[in-house]
Amino acid sequence: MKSTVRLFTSNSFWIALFCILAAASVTAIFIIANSGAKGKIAKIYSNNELVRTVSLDREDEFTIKSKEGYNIIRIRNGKISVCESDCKNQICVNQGETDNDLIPIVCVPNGLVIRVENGNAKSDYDTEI
Amino acid sequence: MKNEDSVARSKNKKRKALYKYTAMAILTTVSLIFFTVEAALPPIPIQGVKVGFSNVVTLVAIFLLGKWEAFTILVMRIILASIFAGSVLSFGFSIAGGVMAFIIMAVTADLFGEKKIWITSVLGAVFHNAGQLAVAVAVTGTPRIFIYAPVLLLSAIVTGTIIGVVSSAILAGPLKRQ
Repeated sequence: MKSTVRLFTSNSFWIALFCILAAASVTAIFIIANSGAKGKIAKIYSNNELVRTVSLDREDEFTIKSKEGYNIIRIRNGKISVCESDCKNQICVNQGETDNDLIPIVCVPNGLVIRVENGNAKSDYDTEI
Repeated sequence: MKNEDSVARSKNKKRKALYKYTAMAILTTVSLIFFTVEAALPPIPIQGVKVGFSNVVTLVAIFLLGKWEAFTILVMRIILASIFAGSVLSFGFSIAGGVMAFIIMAVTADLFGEKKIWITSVLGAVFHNAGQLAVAVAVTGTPRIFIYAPVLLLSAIVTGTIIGVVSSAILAGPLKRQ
C-alpha cells in the first residue's frame, strides 16, 4: 500500500506517464492529419443550423453572419477556409484551408461550423441558401 | 498579564488577516495583468492553445494563502477579465476551464506538495483544456470537435510543465513564506 502511494507520488512515474500521453497525442495527431478523405462539398452551420451547402469545385467567397458576428469564407483550389472573422481569438482564420472531411473548421465565438463532406456536389450545390 | 497576552494575540490575528487580504488583492491584480498581456500578445496559431500564465498565480496562491483564497482570486480574475474584455461566452469558457483546473489542483496540491508542483500544474492544464473542449462541443453541438483532443492534451502537458516550473521557482524564491 505504502509503495503504491510512493509510486503514485514519484516524479518518475508522472514523467513516464506524461511522456507516454504526449507520444500518444503526437501519434494521434499524425494519424488524424493523414487520414480522412478529400471532400467535395462543405456544409456550413451557424448556431447549429445548416445555412449553406457549397461545392468545393468552384471558387467562391461569401460572408456568413450570425447574431454574434461575421465570418468571410473563401473557397479556392478545392479547399475551404475562413479568411476573415471578427472574433477575438482568430482560431478559425489561423486554421487555414482544408478539404479534409475529418477535421471541421470551428469558430466558437460566432457559432460557426464548417464540415467538409464527400457528397454529390452537383445536386447539393447551393440548394439551401 | 493575561489581558496583554490576548491583546497581542488579537493584534497578531489582525495582522495575519491584513496580510492575507492584501496578498489576495495583489495576486488578483497580477493575475489580471498576466491575462490581459497574454490576450494582447499574438496568439499561438493552433486551435485554442495558450500558455495560461494566470495559472501561475492560482498555483502560487494555493500554497501561499490556501485553497479558498486561491479559488476566490481565480473567480475574481475571470469576472474582472470578462467585464473588461470579454463576452458571456468567453466567461463561460474561462469559468469552465478555470474551475475544472482548480478542482484537480486543489485535490492534488497536498499529495504532491510544493516540490512536485509541476505534476499538479500539468494535471490542472489537462483538466482546463478538457473543460473548455466540453464547452466548445456543447455550444456548437458538434461532437466532432473532440478530434482536437490530442492537440489540446499535448499542449496541456507542455504548457503545464512550463507553468509548474515557473511556479515552483517563484515559491522557492521571491515569495518565500514568512
